Amino acid sequence: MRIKPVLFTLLLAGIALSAAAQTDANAIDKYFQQYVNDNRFSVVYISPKLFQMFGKLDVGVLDMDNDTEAQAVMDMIKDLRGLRILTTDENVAEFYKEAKAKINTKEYETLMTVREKDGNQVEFLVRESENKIAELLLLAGGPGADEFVLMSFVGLLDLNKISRLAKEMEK
Amino acid sequence: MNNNAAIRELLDKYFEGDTSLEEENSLREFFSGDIADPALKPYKALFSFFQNEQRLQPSERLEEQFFEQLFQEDASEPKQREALLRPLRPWLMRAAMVAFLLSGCWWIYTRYQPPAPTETAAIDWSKYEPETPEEAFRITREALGKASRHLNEGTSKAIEEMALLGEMGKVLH
Repeated sequence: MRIKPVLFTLLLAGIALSAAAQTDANAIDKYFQQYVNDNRFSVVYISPKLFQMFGKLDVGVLDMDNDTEAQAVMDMIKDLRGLRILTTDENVAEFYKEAKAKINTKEYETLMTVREKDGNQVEFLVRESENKIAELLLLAGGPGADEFVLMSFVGLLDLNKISRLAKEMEK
Repeated sequence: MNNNAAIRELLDKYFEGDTSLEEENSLREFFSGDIADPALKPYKALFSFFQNEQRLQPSERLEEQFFEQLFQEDASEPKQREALLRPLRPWLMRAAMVAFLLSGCWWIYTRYQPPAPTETAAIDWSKYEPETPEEAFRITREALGKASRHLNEGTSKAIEEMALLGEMGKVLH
């Protein structure tokens, strides 16, 4: 009886702290601030507010191949809370190496690494919270690639949905 | 003897409470002297005790003693209050514990908070937002498409490789 309120408060405090820690946390804010301020990079950020506005868009204007693709994209956007993209075509191999070294591998787990014949490498990293993917990080570049890309999708993500999207787009 | 009989009569009256003040005085007078009759002797002690008590004057310390006693009673009152609070004590302890933990958590929370806003405040992301939702949608779709393609590429390669490994396994076995 006596421990209960203690446990309860600890639980509450834990929830409060983890909630505070999670709000909008993303790898780019953490590791790549100087890239954002670097003029060689082009930066794009899509806010949750913009995601919400997609629902009001006229699908016809978007030159979508079919409705199912639009549906698939919309379906994924629902879960997203932010998309950040950093790209550059300078120093591609260097930046790729640097970025890989910067990411804390304890927090970000490598999902897969793909290396193509031309030397282009793509790495997927995920940050999990409560056994769900809270952020997906895509890192592309490497020697031989003509572009360095860093993408951060924040939100509860379903990899199956992402995978299905490519099939919809190929239709 | 006659005297003794009269005294006995008076004593009976005295114990019944029917004696007058004068009669009581005569009784006291009688008992203050020597008593020859053994049957009346025990009463001597009684009456001499009353007489002694009457002679006592209230001492000067009486008042002091009275107040001392009063204050002692006063001092014992907090003990009573404590006794009243005793059943509440475990609850007070719990409340104190919870308050302590909460303040601790609050302290950690406030210490924990500051770095987060300054970190995110360093990048003003709103600068990098596309101007129209159409543009934003196009970019999002492209980004998702890219991620999706690479993801499938990776998985299909992994499947190929696993199949290849399986073939090699067959060859080796």
